Amino acid sequence: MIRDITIGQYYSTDSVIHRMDPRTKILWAIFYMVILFVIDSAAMYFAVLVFTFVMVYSSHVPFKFMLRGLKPIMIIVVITALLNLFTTQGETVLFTVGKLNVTLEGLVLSVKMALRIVLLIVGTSLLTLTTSPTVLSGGLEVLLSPLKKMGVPISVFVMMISIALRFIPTLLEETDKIIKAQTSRGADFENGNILKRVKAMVPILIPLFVSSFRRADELATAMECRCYNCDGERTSYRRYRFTKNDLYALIALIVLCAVLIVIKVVQ
Amino acid sequence: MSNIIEVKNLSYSYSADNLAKDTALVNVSFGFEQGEFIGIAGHTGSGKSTVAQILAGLLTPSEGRIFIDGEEIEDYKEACRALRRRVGIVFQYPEHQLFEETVYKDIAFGPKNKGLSEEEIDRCVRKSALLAGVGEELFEASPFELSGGQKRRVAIAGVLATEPKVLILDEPAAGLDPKSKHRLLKELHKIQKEENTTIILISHSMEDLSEHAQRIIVLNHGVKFKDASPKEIFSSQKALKECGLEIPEIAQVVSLLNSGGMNIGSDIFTLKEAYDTITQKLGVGK
Repeated sequence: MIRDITIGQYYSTDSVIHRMDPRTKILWAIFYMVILFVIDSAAMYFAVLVFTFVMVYSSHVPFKFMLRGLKPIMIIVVITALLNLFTTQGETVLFTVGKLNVTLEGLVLSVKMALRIVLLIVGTSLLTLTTSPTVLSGGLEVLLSPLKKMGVPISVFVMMISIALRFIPTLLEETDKIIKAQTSRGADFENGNILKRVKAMVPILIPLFVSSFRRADELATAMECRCYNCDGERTSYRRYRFTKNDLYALIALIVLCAVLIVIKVVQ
Repeated sequence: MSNIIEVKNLSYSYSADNLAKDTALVNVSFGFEQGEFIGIAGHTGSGKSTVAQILAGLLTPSEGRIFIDGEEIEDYKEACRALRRRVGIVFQYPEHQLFEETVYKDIAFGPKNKGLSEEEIDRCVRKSALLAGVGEELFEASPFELSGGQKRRVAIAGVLATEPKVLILDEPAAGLDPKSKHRLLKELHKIQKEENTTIILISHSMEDLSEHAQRIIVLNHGVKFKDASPKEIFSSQKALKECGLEIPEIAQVVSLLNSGGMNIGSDIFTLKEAYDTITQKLGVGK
């Protein structure tokens, strides 16, 4: 189960999307999210679905890997879908369960919401799957650099994000090991009521906190040894090349986004 | 004597689609008796840790048969539960799993989970602390205040407190100074002798294994390469090298002495044996 969590993971392979400029991909992800919250007709959903499918296909990230990443959030999707299914008021009642009416509108809405969450996760995790944490934070730093003039400490912020991304897999591995160690000592995480289960988390969370602090401490020392200073101007070894292809991809996306917003407003 | 735990044709794959690159174990079979001291050796990625986790009932094998006390348990879930009750595992850097406020409470975690009475828990804690070399004066201290070696002993005591019939240790000496390491290995012997616990020591240090294990299982790329006494294992230096392992340094010295014309036999693997044989050969008094 722990290994199913793919959020923030980088899938190392070569593809058109892997080679894209990180800034393009970040902007792409933002516009993609905007699009997801703007669309509402079935045709629009279909278009975005096809679009996402093509993106995943061209990223060379296996569909199986992608689906495995969806497993942990399936609960959220199902709960959202059920809530929408049973609570939406509508004209055409399909059937009744107890006091709750299931309407056609509710059914449509619940499918839409479920699809929206799934697409949101797939689309955005594509960003981290195809961009290594260093490149991602580099791109983010360039994109956010205008804020520097307003006195926002961008480089610190970006460093924080890249460290967080870097440590997700490490912490997952650590969690897995601690769960196993405590299971071997007879800890039971699966049975009992909610209170008992929450209490059962203590032997996992405390070692996890302790090791996170230890890691943070060691990392801070290592960074200081290499003269890390958050006030200084840092230059980058990498140059991000914004090619024509990136520009076209971005323009296409912005146009798509604009068209969809216009359609939405006109409707 | 019969095997308390035996596995036959064990295979394990990290993904469900059985791709060759995700396969950690292929067709591994072995068993062990109560009170044995077994070493599992192999280079990084040879499947040592996977075997350990399966034996401890923490991973479900993809294929294979599991026998406990001579009886096959076909349902893997059932087998895992039965294994967990019998086998204790000390992971690498076990001190990272400490969590309680006091050393006493941390050691008591295992017996408490077993649902034992207060007196029973107290007995388990004191006994395992003694076995692992944790002094009672540390009982009220916070486990986070201790030194590295002490923390590790507390963590090992915590596993021993569940009174396992089989104790698996994954590189228990990693990161310890030579003195603490020596002490730890000696304590393992004591546990084996006094409690008749089966000890399975996983290590890539052939020195440690040759000195302590009665039998060594060598794994290579997820396949069982050899399962024999240390003497037999180390007699095939070349084959061992192909598995990415070295014979103990002292055996290398002996083999060099032999090839240099000093015939002292080739079945010497510990410092003491070498010392005795060489002094005898040279006629030097002790």
